[in-house]
Amino acid sequence: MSASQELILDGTKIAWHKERIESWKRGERIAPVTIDMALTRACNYSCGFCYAMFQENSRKVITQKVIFNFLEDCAEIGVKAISFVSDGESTISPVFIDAIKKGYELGISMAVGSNAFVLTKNKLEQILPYLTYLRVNFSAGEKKRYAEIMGCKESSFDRVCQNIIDMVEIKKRDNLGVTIGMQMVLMPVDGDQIIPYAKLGKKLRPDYAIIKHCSDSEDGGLGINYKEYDKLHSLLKTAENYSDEKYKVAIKWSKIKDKGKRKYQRCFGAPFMIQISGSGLVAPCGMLFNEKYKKFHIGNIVDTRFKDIWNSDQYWEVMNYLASPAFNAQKMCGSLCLQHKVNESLDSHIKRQIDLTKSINNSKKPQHINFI
Amino acid sequence: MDDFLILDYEKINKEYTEQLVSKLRDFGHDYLKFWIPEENNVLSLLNLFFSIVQSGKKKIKVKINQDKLNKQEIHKLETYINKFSLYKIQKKNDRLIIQVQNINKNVLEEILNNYFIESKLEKTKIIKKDNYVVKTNNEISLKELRKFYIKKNHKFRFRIDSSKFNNKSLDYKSEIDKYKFGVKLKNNIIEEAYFSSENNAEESYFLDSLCNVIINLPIQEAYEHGSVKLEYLLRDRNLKNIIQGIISPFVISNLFINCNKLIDNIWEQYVANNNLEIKINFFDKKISKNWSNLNKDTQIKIIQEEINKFTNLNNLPKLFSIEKFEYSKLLTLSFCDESYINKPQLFLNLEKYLNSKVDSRIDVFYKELIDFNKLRLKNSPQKLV
Repeated sequence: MSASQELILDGTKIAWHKERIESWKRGERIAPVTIDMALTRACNYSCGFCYAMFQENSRKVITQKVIFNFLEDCAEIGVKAISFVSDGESTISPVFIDAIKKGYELGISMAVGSNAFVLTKNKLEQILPYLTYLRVNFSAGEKKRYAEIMGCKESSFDRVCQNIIDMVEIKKRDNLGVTIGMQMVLMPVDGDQIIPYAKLGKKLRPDYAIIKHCSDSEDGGLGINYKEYDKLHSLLKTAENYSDEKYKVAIKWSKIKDKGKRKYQRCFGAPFMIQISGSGLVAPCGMLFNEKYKKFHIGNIVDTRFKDIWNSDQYWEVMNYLASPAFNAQKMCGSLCLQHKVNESLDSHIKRQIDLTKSINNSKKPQHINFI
Repeated sequence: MDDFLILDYEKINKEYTEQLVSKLRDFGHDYLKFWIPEENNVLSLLNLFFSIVQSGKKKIKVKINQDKLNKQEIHKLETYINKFSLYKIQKKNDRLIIQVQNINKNVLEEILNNYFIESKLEKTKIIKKDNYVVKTNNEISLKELRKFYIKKNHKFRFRIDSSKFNNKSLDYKSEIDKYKFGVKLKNNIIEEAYFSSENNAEESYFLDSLCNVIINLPIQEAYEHGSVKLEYLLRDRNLKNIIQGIISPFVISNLFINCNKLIDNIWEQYVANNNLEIKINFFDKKISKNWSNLNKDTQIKIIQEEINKFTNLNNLPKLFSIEKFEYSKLLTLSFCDESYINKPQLFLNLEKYLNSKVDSRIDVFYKELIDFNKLRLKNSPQKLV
């Protein structure tokens, strides 16, 4: 990975997948560029802001056979990247390490978002060579507040800090291409942790420390008041100043400034980027995982091969529904989903406001290009 | 006093797997918090000792079925545990009892950290495949495509001849090639829309349909979603047999080029004339007055009747039960027969049916599955327990 390549943390890389956009425009069945998934719905933390509490669905176990079949299908149909984030802590699945290695062997870019509690040195030695990025969810900068916000013991703070130090050390020692990041999901009431978090990152030395808004369900289940983020503006600006040559504090300004609102109504992004629950459920989007949204549930990789799910009429029926006037993401979805930036770009393309296939002419390819 | 922590390996392994599906938060016993079962049983046991040691315990007995470890694996395990503890391995019936005490935490950690050094040197062989295989290639000519959008015997409602169009008092007009298009607004809502064209019945048909779609819409909504709505309105549902992926972008960019240019031009004029700072368009189709004026009981009765018709039409038994109906549009159903397999497809089809028969804003939901983990809910900002 070239050092001169830009690391896009607050935007989308969809425009670099011109061939996929052209196929989409021709009405072909395109494989997702990126799949975000979890290997389990379970988690060893209980973060107060966790969207997973709204995503409960009938749970099934993703075994090694299931995940290997899934990864082979992904490689066959042309999925380019898989991130283990979604609605569970994938590191506590017994198939976690095998899945990363297998995906990498099949030529798929692999990434992980985790609380990193169980990612001790020996596990890091096993996974880091195969990852494009490893992002540690770390929503505070002080031990006591970390335990409060993330629903764990104070001692977990020290363990995870040590694990981050180990990650950075292994990366440096073996000159690995993996990007190591920290991520703070910021609730407006936790503004006191912005600066301690930026400082802690500077001490632990990941490649970046990101601060992002918190998503909420369509009926405001977490009670996020997006206007409250305005009061944190100057603290966030100060946090950015902790960046140096090799450590970047990045604020997802675009999503914070959007105040949970969408400019678009159709969801054109789902065929390019789908989500899979830790239960194996395939749905266009994590916000639709709950049983409540059964009409959008396409299949389960525990029961059916993914290539068959992807090639089924039901899959494309749901995708076409999301792209139709019958669906309105402004009213029917929670705030600022994973596909938000992709949706914005594709919607502007459909509205003739930008030509995505020409928008990146002569631009350098960014890092992590397959994670759109 | 025997203060060994005694664990049954098969039992904790089974519990671990079960908890992956039965719990969402607060996962695992405290002394097992770092342990994740591995396919490699030697590594899995070493990780188990590591996890237990973190909680301060240093005397452990693990009972494990003999068939879990072959001779080489037992030898490998002994070599390792000899380095970090006083150990004993006994055979009892078909089980092994692995007893370790006086564990040196640092040595154990070092063993684990170096466990993969050797295998890491053997670089994983990458079996990269050629990514992206186009599975379907829709081959449809524009002529063929038009057949899915044009209905016969269409009666034009918004076409006027060229001279009449020129004299017509409209707020915004645009012209491309042989086509003229214009709208009259009242409070930014399109009150009237007309077009003029001399020939090409197909293009005229689209323009006539566009006028029909955009009347009563805000001008911004007409510009942003006019062609999406036009496409959805006119589409023959059999088109999905030809275009197997996403339909609307293909059709909009091929069939409605002139419609788009004409409406874009109107919008540009409107923005310029009003020196408009463009805001987010939140227009959403409203529930029809006829429907919202009915009382809730009547609405539920009508919905139930339509659900019955839907099940009869599809030769289905009584499947749905109405759980909740709110705001004249949010319908929550449960299944009378939980064993019915393709619930998602049925739900989507039922919603489309109710949209066409009752009101286009009805949303169909299944019963919400609530997160039952008290710890998780307690830590939520709203302190739900």
